[in-house]
Amino acid sequence: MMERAKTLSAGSTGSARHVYLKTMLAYFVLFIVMRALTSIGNKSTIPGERIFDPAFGIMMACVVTTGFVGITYYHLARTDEHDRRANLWAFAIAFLAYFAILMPWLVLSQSGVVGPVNPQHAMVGAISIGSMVWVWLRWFG
Amino acid sequence: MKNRLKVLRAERDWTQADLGQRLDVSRQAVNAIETGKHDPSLPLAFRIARIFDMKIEEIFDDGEG
Repeated sequence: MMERAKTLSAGSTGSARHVYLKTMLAYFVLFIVMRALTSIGNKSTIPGERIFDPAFGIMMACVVTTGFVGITYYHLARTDEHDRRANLWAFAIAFLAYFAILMPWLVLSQSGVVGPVNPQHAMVGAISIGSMVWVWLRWFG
Repeated sequence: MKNRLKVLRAERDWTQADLGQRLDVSRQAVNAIETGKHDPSLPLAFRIARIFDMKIEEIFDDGEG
């Protein structure tokens, strides 16, 4: 019975990783769509400026955050140690990359060398670096 | 860390996916252990040893023994 239960929980060989990847892809598509919609509507993304109805915004924020935390927990609880190592390194590197991008950018922008800091671009860069680390460790490491 | 996982698996005519299923890990995890890119945790090393009915040190060699 225990063996059966163990087999059913088969981490990375099962559907957990696929569910996570599909959800992350859905989030990415949602992000692109939202950006496109705000661009088409020629509305600003300056913090504090209204793009959505506040009630809708709060509801969406709760759904997205709960979904993100839930699916990440589900994924990390069901993956094997090799996959978990790739995840944790990728998360750590992405976190460090975010600040490694942001800090010099801030200094350079204050010096007038480059344009103003855009945290969203820094985040996309950090996620890209983290994703490369994950792919490397998951498939080649 | 060197190990005999590939040989032991081949003796039983198991694929990496077969062994991965028995260990409850992915095929990539088995490959990473076999090639020495990933050192398994102690619980996983015990599971591997049990599956092959051997001692851990008969499968893994840390080069110190």
